[in-house]
Amino acid sequence: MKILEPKNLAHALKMKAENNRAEPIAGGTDLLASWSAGAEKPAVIILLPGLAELSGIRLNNGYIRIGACTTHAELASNPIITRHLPALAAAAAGIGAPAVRNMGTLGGNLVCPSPAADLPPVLLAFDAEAVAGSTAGERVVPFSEFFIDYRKVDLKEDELLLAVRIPVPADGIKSYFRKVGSRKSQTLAKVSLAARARVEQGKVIHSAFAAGSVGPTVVRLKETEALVESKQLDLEIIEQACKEAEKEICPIDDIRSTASYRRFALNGMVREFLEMLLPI
Amino acid sequence: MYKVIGRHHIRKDGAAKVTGKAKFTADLHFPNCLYAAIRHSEHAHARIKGIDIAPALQMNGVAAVITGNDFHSNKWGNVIQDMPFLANDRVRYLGDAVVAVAAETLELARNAAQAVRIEYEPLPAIFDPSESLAGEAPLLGVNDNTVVRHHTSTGDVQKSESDSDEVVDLLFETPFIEHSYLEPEAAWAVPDQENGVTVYLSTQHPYSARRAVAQALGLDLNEVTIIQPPIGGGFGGKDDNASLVAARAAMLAAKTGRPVKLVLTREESFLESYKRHPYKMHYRLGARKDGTFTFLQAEIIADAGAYASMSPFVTWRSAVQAAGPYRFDSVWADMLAVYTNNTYTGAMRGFGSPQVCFAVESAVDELASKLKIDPVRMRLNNVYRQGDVTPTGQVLGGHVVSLTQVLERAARKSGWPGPNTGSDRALGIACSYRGVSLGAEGADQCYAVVTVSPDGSVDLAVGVAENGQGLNTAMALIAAEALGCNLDRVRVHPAGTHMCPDGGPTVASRGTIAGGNAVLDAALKIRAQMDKAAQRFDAGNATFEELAGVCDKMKVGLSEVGHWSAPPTSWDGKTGKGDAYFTWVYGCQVADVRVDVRGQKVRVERVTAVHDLGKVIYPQGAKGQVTGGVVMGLGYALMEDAVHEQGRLKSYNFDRYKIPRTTDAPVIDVEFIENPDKAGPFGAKSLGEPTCEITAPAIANAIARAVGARVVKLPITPERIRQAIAGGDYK
Repeated sequence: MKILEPKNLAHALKMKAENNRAEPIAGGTDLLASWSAGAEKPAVIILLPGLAELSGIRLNNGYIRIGACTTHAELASNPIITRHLPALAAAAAGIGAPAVRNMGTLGGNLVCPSPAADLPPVLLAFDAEAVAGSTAGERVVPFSEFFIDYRKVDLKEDELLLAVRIPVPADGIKSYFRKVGSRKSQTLAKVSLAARARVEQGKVIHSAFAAGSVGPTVVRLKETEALVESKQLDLEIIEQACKEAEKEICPIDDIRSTASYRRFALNGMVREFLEMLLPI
Repeated sequence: MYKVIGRHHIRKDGAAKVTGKAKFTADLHFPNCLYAAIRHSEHAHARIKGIDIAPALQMNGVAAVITGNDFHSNKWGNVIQDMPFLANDRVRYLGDAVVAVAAETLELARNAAQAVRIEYEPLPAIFDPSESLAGEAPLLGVNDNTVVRHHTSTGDVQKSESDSDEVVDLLFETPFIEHSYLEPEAAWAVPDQENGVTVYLSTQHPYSARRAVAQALGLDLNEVTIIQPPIGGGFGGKDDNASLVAARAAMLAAKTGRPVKLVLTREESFLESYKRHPYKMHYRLGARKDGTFTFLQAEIIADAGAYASMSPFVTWRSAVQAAGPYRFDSVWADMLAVYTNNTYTGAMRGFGSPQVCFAVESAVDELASKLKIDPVRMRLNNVYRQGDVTPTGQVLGGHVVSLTQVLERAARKSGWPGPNTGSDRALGIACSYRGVSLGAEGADQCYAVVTVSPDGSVDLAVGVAENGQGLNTAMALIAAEALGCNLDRVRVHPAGTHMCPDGGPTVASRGTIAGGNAVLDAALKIRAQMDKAAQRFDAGNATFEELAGVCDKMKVGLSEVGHWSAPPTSWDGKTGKGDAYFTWVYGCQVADVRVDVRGQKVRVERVTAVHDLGKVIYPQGAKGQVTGGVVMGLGYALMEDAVHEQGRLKSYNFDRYKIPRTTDAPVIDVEFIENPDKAGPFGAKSLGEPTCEITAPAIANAIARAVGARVVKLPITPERIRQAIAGGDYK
């Protein structure tokens, strides 16, 4: 295996342009595990850690921009994230064990995402965008288009994922993330839900729900969102929303859970979030 | 009254373990060594038509390639010798090892192992134990596919059933369970200057490994030395498979004359190593209106997998304890273990009890619920009392039968009955009796060698092994108490077959009672010599150290071999009768469980564990046993499941095989009841396994009380709770 060590981002993009099949590697928490499990190793890898352009979390022009090499541990504790995107911090804090959170990165969680990955639902629910880069320049793709299919994303052969940018949520937005696994920590989601909404005069405004592990990629629950939009929030509408959420997903039975349980648990989480919005 | 036992001490190996100084087998290094790799089967059942090792041997840096044909004898097994060191005619499960390679680097050894050409003829395979006995099933055993059958009965079940006002009829199922020791199997085989070999081995039974290596290489027992470095857990799992690993490494060392390192990866460990038996258990229990039990009928089938391993003994304990600690007018229990082409199953903490405890304790609660009797009262009405007779005809006596005591204490301590049924929070209770040590399984004895040197320091070697449970500290405490010296004077040497005669396996919760009795015997002999010397030489006021010096000068020998042989037990396999165990222990646990109604996720908030262990020798060790046992039991209850599909494990590592983490652990409230037993050192008997066998049923009973539906299949996942509530799983 040939290991390329770029000096800076421009250098890395050049390497990727010259060698499309080179595999970029950051924390290695996915790749190393899959190689030791027998997956074919790439002939060339590009080491991303240490590239200043891929690190850091900044507030800029109404966006929060997060470098692709930001670790889960940083996401979980960064003051900008914990203040503006507590759901993202919570999702990052629940990934793997401390060793994985210290090594694994945001970019790694997104470029070849398992349907059960923890960060995509939050990004999708907060209208985040992927910033891809190549020698030709930057390209911004909303995550609603970025996640194409099972472990397939809109990233071209000569591109690297540079960053994620998320519009700073307006004041008063309530957010939610929960993953249901087989134990309390270090667990893969059987089903997960990220959500956000604002309540104005008892009405739900601009809600977003994104569920993980219920299909080949993370999905926005558009029907559920439409159902509650501008509606007076009460127990009846909550009941309808839960039912709608169950209806609009297509989960499967697999080693981790069953389709029926996934629907049931998603129902519970939608209910939990909406009840959180009810006036006390 | 005791000076050292029962008091707080820092464990002997504590500092070395927490500072990283402890060297585990894989941490050792020997110069001029080779690295070994294993090639496993590609079929669950196949005939091996040919093995061509030439492509591997030709590779530069490959020192040796061995197959089953290289062994002096290619048969192994502690009970039935049906297991090869390397399969050479037939593979019987996917974990069968076929070829072993030693090479200059590990990578080279692995590549060479893959380069060997193996030709298979696939054979029909069986994965469901209930199909194993069908006429058309392929033959996996010698005459048929039965590994063993045990039967016990007393009274007349039919008559007792007609005396019953209420009967429950339930079909329970438990899964394959991985031991999940932190350290996978590891061996260093080092040829010695004579004909023999020394193997540093992660094992909980060095003497069994010595027999295996001697048999494999055609050596005398004294030509094989097994040394146990610090070990990262065993839980019953570091026996048969550790011996196979030792024999393969030793054969490669013998062939090459060089030290050989063989360490399994976690995936190989999952693949090869035996699991806890999955059981299917059909239980029927009856009672009169007043809650008095009438009969229990149990029909149990265990999946033994590819090899017999400890199945004959594991299932014997299940048969003996099948009816739980209760008086029934009649009991009928039938226990069958059959071969399949799944991973073989063997000893694991509990040894046949976790399965039947889950069934009996769940069934008792179902009966209580039908009769609207409180589960604690139901148990108190029916548990054995002093002098009662077990289904095998054994009179429970000679020790305190403390079931009532542990039940009442656990109930009071846990705040029984807790919240009202139907809330999301509930308590669940389970209790058990457990035969101590090996019982009528086999010769039960142990040795210890104790030497007091002229400076008053003490060397101790014992025939049982430190598996991480704190055994060495307990042994040192017993020696110090009996000798009258300080704990820090006693050094316990790592278990080695050259240090002490064969003390039997460190299993069956027998470490303290077997090892401790042997240590006590040696120490008391020495103390008697010292007391005599003190009198003779007028050294009554001498310190222990001074007296040791006097004894040396006056040629008073202060080195002794201690021996313990278990009190008699008996068993008649035909009638299923006998005094199965020489003494028993009793325990009760209450689980306080919260069920999240939104996700039907279970959170175990607290477990109250009350165990009568005779006498506490080493308090932190004892507490550690309970803590570990409860958490292991929690994993059994809620998440662990080594699913097989067509003989293939669905998970080969802990990313998918879920065990509890500290975040899942409940508050564990431990209390020991001490009824000293004359059979034990200072009255101490057993603890390791009782702690692990009743947690799952206590949790199961709590969940059933909380949600009003019973899950009869472990693990109790939210999916199964949901199904049970919907009426799917409930019978």
